[in-house]
Amino acid sequence: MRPFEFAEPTTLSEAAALLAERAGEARLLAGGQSLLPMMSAKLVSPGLLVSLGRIPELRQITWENGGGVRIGAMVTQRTLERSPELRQRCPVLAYAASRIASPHVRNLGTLGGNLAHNLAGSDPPAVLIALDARVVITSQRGERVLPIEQLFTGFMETALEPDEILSEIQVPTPALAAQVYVKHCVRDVDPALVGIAIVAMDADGGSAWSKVRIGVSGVGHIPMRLRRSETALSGGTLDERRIKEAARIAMEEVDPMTDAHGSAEYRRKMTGVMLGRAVKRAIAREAR
Amino acid sequence: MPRATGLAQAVQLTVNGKPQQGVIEPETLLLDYLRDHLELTGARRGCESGYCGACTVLLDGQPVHSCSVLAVTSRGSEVQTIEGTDATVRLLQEAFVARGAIQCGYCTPGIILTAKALLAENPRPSDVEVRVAISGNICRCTGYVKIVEAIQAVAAQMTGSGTRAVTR
Repeated sequence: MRPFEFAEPTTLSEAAALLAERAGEARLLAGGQSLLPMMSAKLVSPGLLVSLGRIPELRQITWENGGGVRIGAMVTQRTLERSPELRQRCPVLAYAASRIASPHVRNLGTLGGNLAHNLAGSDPPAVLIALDARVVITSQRGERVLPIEQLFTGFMETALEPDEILSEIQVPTPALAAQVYVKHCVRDVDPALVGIAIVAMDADGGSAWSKVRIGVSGVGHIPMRLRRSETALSGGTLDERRIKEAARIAMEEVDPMTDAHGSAEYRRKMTGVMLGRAVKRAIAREAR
Repeated sequence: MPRATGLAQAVQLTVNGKPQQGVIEPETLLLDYLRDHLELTGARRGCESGYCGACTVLLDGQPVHSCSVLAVTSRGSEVQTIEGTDATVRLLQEAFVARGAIQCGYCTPGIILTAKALLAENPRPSDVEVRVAISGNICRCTGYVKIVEAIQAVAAQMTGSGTRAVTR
């Protein structure tokens, strides 16, 4: 690891000021579970490392009266996975957090760091897309809010500017929604080859869905929403024919990549398989 | 407001119950601080990328990969390494030896610390819970069957409810 200067501000505005002053050479340190190994391998060598670890407001989970939850960027995966309230009110997000890497990584890894790193196959993005989450981005220039889908712009690239901090994740948690995340990977600690999340509102007493949202990660370079598959699953009775048709459309909709873990063709086929499984588990009210 | 403070940083933390303080470069990993500054070599350097778990230590009671933690961000924390032997660690060490859950030993300190943290929170884990808990630790000698058995033997012993005999 190359030498760097280190700062540990205690407020978000101090962190934003440091980042603005040294934009381009400063990097933010969240849980460090991706950045520090990359720095050890000299893939990243910041001149200044600004730790967000001593900023209390970034560690908070705040439940809104309307049912949504605001999650500070520095809340760890372990906290999410174990939060009784999240497990009850938004089980799919708690479950996705529990599928990231190993407990060792989850003890320190944060939701904000995970999203800003934008590793292909990361678990939370698919779920947060399905939940219609937003991210709050803070800088000295002010604050902006982005739909989560727009955060991911390319392979390990995000919409964050060099002076910006991903400070909060806002998640609507609608009651009575079917919600599921299914993950296909080689080993349990691996990123997803195919990760599919579905969040839907029931219609016709549970035999059909309205307002279906589907997020997928791991298949292509960036996580994405499967809009045409959503349409295919909306409205009508959720029978075998409809599920097969949605799976066929999902295979068309994705833009799969080839890497050491699986070919594009394999990822495309497994997208169809996993979408079918996700629908059936969501109908059965299983969160995984 | 805190400025970027240049290179050396003061740290103080508790390691195996003993307060430690020093002045270190910010790029010092917790792993390097333990090994090179405190000469506690039980945490091993392995993959240096957060997979293998050879460098596992307990940070405020929770297992972490010390290759993926800066010493400066561990300020004020309590760290336990395998050298900080206590009653549970001792039981686990004995069970690992008795059941052949140890061969080359490179992964063993990390797995024992991980098991200690697991049993502190979940005194009677299922085999699946043990396997999930140690998923951040890789053993390339024994496979995991004997490791899971050894951890379960200690769980049974500590809760006084076990039936699995420890055999040599």
